[in-house]
Amino acid sequence: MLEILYNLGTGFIHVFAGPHLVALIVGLVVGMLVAVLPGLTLVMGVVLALPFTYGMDITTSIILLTAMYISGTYGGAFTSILFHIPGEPIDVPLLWDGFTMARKGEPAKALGWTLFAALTGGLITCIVAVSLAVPFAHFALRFDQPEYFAVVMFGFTSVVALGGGSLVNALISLFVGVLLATVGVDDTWGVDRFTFGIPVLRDGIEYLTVMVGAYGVGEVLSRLELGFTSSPLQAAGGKIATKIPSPRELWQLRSTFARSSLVGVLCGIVPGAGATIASFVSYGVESQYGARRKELGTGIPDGIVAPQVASTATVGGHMVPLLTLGIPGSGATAVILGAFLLHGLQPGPMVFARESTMVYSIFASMFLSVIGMCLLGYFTIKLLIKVLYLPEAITAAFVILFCVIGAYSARNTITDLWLIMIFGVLGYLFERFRFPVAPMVLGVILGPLAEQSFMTSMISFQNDWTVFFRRPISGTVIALAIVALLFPLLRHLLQRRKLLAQGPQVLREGQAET
Amino acid sequence: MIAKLKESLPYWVTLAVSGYFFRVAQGISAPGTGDQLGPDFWPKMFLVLLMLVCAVGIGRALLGRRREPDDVFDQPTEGAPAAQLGGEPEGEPEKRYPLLLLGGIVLCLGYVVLFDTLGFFLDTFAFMLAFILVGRYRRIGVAVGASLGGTLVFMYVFMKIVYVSLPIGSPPFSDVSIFLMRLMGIR
Repeated sequence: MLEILYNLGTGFIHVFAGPHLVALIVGLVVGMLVAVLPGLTLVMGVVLALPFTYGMDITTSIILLTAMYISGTYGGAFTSILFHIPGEPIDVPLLWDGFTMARKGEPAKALGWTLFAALTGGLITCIVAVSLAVPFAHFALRFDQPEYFAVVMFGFTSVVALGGGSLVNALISLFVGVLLATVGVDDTWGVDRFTFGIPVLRDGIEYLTVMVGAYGVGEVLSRLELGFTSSPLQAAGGKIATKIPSPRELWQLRSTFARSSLVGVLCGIVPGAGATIASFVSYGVESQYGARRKELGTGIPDGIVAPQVASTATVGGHMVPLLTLGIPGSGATAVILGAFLLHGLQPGPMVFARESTMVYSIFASMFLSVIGMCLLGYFTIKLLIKVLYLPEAITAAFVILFCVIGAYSARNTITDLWLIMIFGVLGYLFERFRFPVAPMVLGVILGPLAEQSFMTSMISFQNDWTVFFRRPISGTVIALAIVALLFPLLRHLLQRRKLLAQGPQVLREGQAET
Repeated sequence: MIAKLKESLPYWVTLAVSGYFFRVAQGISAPGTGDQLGPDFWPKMFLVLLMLVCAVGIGRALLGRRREPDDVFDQPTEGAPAAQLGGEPEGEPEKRYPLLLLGGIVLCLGYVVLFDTLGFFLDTFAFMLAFILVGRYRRIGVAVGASLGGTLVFMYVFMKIVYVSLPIGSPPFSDVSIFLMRLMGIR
């Protein structure tokens, strides 16, 4: 414990060094702006910032992206509460009580509750991340290839099952991603696969190209088809300020804070269950177990605290498997993993031994990011929401420009520009036909790791595929993966049973609604 | 029936493409693999899985089971927003502008085609301006200012600070890039 505190202290000292601190502040501001703008998502923002990190050292890069990630979970709350415009899907639950409270004439109080909720969720998640990381890393040291394969499979299945929407479409998206990762020279046998004689494809398709194309260009094309209808803000109206709740008011909501933090951290650790799901689940839990559950939706603080605490609390949960296993659990952490790999470092248990200063600097930057984003939100809210005046067509043109630079900078080849445009169109088609993009991106990133661990296991264990089930850790993780895949079925059965218990009439109504 | 076929179209296309790639994968082999799994095993395994899932998708679309409540494959995550699920909100369907989309795609492809010839500056400036106008923004002065300013800032940051070698174009377009580089002190 003392060692952890000592390392964390060293991390704080490192973060206060010039470039790290600048990266942190820039990351916080840009993350908030991205979250405020309805046309830009948090993940897209982190993707677009990636090319700017090429010239930075690895710690500065990760601090910048992590700061963006953290502040992105908070920035969208402003527009949800003040203008009924959720900057991110995670901010939708804030419309129900946050906006209602603002409409009742207490916008400052609603913003105050959000600020305190983000602060609490953020600090708790940082403490959890620091506390869990080392035990996680020690545990991960016992992993061999079958265990890695099992963990990647768990990541795949939970992302597919918990990501929302159609399981069939999510599986197709995932398989397409894994197959894209097979393009190039095979690692085990050194043979070309799907290169079609194009030299640059022998190096494979960069996951960065897929991410930038599908998230950036694809999203812009989708919005262009809708005519860039989210018009700039016409009038903010009223005085915009933040009023911090009193200690007595905060104490009354202690159970809500505790429940939401737990939901957030758990959703963070499980791959696929990101901030959006945490935000909705937490609101749902509050509506089931909250002391004032019947008043939810009428503009009470419980309905603001629950989703905001949970969404911010997912960040630390996501960072633990990312740093200790190299497994990203969300779109944003997938990009952060991409930044690690671009700088030639594969996160994993050995990172704690070899690069402990870097790891603890990242943890320290998370603490500072949480505090920084709250200060930023408190003092600069009026300025931040001015970004809503930007016309969407101009924002979109800049997004494309970021995408082009991002793709071109990686290998300086025009083929990558063609690829991002192709993946942009593919991303648009995915969105148009309701195929989620996240499983494809995770498939591209984790596909090579899955293949390598699978093939190595097969070679080491003489093609005995039962090895994945016989070894205690990999067997348990594979079982969890199966449970994750069966989760939609279980959920459906439970819902049906609940409806049946309420009577045939209700069941019919439920079916009609479904 | 046409609606069902339309619904199943993405699965048919994916099935056909994966079938083609499976055929390509048949040609992947490595000498001396012996009893071990060859380099074709992994992609073939996922192509087969992809084809199976597509078949399920086609079956469900054609049998008209997509909206049935007992279809566990389409159960959305509880409480997730419509946007996250890719579902459309209740009420009037959103108005779509396919010509704008087509214009946007043509501009993007044109941008890549002319990237090496015009060079980063001219190509990006022209693309941004055209894209903003295609995006139905009509204040020309602001559009030109944003395109010009944005392109120059990006050129400066990436060529001078991040050291990315952006294309300067072929003559005579390269003269413009070289002139601007001199002005910015970029070597």
